Amino acid sequence: MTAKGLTGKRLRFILLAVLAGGLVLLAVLGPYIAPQDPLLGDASASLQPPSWEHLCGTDKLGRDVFSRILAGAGSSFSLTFLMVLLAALIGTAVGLMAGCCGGFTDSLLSRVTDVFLAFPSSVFAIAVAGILGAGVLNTVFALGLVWWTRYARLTRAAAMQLRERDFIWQARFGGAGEGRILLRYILPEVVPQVVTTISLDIGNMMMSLAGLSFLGLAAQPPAPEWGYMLYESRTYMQTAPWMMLFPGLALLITVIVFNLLGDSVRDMLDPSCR
Amino acid sequence: MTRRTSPFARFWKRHFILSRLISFLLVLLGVSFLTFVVSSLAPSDGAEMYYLSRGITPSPQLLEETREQMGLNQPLLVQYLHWLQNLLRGDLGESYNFGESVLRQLTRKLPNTLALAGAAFLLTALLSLPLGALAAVRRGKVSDLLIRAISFVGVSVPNFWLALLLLYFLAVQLGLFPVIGTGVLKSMALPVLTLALPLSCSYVRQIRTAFLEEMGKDYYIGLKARGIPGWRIFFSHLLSGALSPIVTLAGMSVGSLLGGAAIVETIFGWPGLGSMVVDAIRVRDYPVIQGYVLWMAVIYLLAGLVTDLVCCLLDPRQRQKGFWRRNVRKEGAK
Amino acid sequence: MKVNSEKRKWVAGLLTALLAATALSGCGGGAEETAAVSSDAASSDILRVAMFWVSTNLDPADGYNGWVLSRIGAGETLVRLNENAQPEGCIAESWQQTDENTWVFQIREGVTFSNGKPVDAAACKAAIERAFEENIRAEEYFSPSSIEAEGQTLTIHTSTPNGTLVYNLAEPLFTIVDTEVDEDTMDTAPVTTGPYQVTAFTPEQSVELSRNDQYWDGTPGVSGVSVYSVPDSESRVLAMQAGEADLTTTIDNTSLQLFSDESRYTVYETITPRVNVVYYNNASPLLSDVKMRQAVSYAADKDTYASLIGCAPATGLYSTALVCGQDVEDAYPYDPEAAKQLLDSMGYLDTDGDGIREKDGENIQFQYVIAADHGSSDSALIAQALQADLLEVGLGCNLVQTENMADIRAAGEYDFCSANDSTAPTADPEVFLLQHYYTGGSSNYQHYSNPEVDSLIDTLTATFDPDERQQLARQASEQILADAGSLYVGYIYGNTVVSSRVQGAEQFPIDYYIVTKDITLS
Repeated sequence: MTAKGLTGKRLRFILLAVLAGGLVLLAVLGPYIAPQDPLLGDASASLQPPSWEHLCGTDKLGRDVFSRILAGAGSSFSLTFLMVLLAALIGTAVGLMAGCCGGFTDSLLSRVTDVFLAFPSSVFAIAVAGILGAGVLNTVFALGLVWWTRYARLTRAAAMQLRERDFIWQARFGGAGEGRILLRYILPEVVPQVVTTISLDIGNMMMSLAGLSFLGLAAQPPAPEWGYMLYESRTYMQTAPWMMLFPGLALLITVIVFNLLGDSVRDMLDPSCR
Repeated sequence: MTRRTSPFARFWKRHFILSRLISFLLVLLGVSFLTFVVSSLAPSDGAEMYYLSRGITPSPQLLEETREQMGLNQPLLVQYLHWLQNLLRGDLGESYNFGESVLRQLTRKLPNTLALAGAAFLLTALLSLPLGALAAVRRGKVSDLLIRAISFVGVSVPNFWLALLLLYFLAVQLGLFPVIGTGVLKSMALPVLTLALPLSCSYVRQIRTAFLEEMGKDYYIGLKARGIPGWRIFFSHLLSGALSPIVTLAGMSVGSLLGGAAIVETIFGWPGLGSMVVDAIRVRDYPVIQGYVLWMAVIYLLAGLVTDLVCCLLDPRQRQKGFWRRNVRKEGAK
Repeated sequence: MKVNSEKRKWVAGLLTALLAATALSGCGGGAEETAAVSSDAASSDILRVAMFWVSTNLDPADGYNGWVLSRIGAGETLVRLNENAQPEGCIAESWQQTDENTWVFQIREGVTFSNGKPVDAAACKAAIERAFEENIRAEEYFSPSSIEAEGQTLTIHTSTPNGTLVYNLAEPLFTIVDTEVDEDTMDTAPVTTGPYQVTAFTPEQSVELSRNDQYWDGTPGVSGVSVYSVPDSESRVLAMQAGEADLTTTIDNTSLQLFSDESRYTVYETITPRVNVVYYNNASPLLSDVKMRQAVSYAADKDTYASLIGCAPATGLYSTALVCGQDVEDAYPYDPEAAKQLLDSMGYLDTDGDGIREKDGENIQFQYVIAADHGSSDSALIAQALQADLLEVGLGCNLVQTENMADIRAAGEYDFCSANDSTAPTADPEVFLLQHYYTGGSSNYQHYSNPEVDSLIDTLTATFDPDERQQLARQASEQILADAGSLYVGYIYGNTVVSSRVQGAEQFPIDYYIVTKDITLS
């Protein structure tokens, strides 16, 4: 029973990892395999419906929507990964520090985290990105600023539990300094949880990024970005619905794959969750 | 566990409500500071925006004078204290764009956003409670699998895309929902659906888990063994047992609803706080953005406070955990 | 086990029924209300307008609220601009300039406010003076040294000679409003002279108007007007298609094709004084050379851009809505070969074969600034299209989206920037030249400077004859074109779409006239 469940889980994970890997590969190769130039349009082919020549139709400037989706995948993916890693790094560092040092440091860092948590995340991200102004890096900063708190909470709780465990005390009696204990013993224990959360976050992050782009806060024309493409599509909803359908579909599929992968990673690494 | 409990910590535990209020005020102070700091990151400052929004390109000298007048040359902390002082008097500054007081603008738009969020919340509850319970009761059956599959896709749909799809298929293709008019039930249908659907999907999953947890408990198995009818167990025991996590969910949904409202209001042209802030961002109207963030945080905090108090009434064992402690789980859909 | 599963089914059934019941009751309520509203509106004599903007209050002296009042048929001014953008009498019957600084207006007999109070010169004086007190924008139009009212004669003395005063008084900031009402009434239901009067107002959402039975110029065509704010173009389209609105304006060009069914809709289009323009930074290292500016002008396929964004291809600076913009020959028709020859002749060649020409060994890269208006605006479309065209002739171009356009313009750190500007905000050509092309002009962030143009503008300011003024403006604009001072892409259409119920609508070149007394419903 257990053995079978394990292999089932593993199989599912491998399958999804391959799928996700395929998407990442597509994103990396996107600009090279795009059938047409995603930036240069042919104004005479403005707003063409899907055909064999233009699989997903063309936009107002006559640019191939399919090529733009492919080319846009790269920036969507790399920015999302960058943001999740940034959030995880800051959050884990703060959380470990709070959890291991305890006392005043812990109180202070926890209060700071509380303050950040007091803002509804998307509200805060929109405001920060809005205040800093449009731009990819500003968006990364805004979303990173919002999302690190969950990692901080997570690692703090884990670190506080761990630091009282027997093997840590043994290491401490063995003369290991706090810094060494942190890196050598506590960090490795926390990593699986952090990885789980990262994998669960990717889908959400991707949607948040696209949402900010949709509001015109992230990508800048003519860069093909899914959220921004959807924004552009709005004016042509009736005259060119394909502009709206396909980038959204691409986003949906990607988010579903990464969410499934996240669930599967959680099942593998962190069985206590469910 | 082995940490010693300070008198402070003991007080904290005993006077739950009071301690929550104190920490609420502390966090509020922090929120105001963070809001202020974030606004000061803006690439152009108040003096500059004051002129630019009036179509004047100020000379460096004029700019410097205005900065002096507005107190923008003082240290950040002094500026903050000054700002806080005004804030406590209810003065959030003036919108660069309209010259109107930010507070007035916020109070005018808030009811619209609250109506939208409230309706979306109601719909979410109506959808997710029965479906979540159904999925839990029918665990492993086709209906459960179906509900879970749909809700899984649902949480992965970006709300702005959903809004466009609903608009396209329901309003354009089927002509079901009118688009004009505000404050009227009919024109709320699409924005409310857009807000409620992804949220419901996310909550169906969590409510199902809450019920399943409750159904795994000894008392449930005992009641079942005694042959008590399923529906009676459901209404008299399961529901009350699962209520606490559900209330927590409700509190958290305030955040998702308010955040989601920004995009949804923009798409449907709903004159609430969300579309207000997006417009403000467009014209770099910092005082409005600032006021918006602050209000949102306060509303969210209040929702958290209320949730805590309700949970505490429902289940006194929960009290020492507190809202923000329990809240490490996924925060809503987005 | 079997019993159990049956009970579960029972619970499930109950829940499903509950859900269905709530869903049904929700839908039922909605449907009922919808039906009630639409039948109510369709049968009555109310014109329903989907407007792109409704202000936060209706005080005409505050912000641009006067424009709203004018658009919805409530506000009127002394003078209005007709379908040729020429001034014609409205509340003022006639006027004349008695000396350089003095204008005398004869107020029409029989004009009354909607509350029955007669409009005399004193009332007009009060309204105009109020505009100066409340709004700094008023000073941009003229500066009165004194205003005198006597019976129906209004005399305005200006502190400096002003040839455009009559045009300027048509700006709805100078809406003639009853100033003797309290502030609250001014904000929510100002008393004006137009064919319709405001009866109810919800800030930024809707205005209800009823027929002004006292109207001086015949009986207005409908018994009432309902104006809804629908800021998004696509939603206005939907509102028209669903029959929720009878009239709307400013529809995105691409969506106009949705109204091609002539039995159901009529589309009115007219060229406005607005233009889509790409400003060259005449002082930038690359563009300070007139040949370079000319090369860029030749490389731009502006007819295609114009058709892409749905405006009329521009040949010169002024839109054809103005006399001085008519029959201007295109100085730079699309000619990439001419552009290449110019660039070759300047010695900018692509020596390293990367497709981009070099200047002093470095690739030529223009900085193209577009305002981050967070939209797929025309400016962004033009920028992207021009970028592609420049590449064709071997010129590189970076698009930079910026939040603080004004800073960048002031600092001069750019080569191109796009704008959608009105070349004649009050139908007169002077202001635009003065602000954008006069040396040191307030909006001359393109650093254009030509003494010849400056002296033409000086002459224009001191000239009062309307025909002569148009002639001078034309000369100045031709000189600017010869210098390739800016790239004019297209003249923007204004559009109004009405359903087949509506007769008598019109699209004016000036965008503060929409609802008129002539509109009727069948």
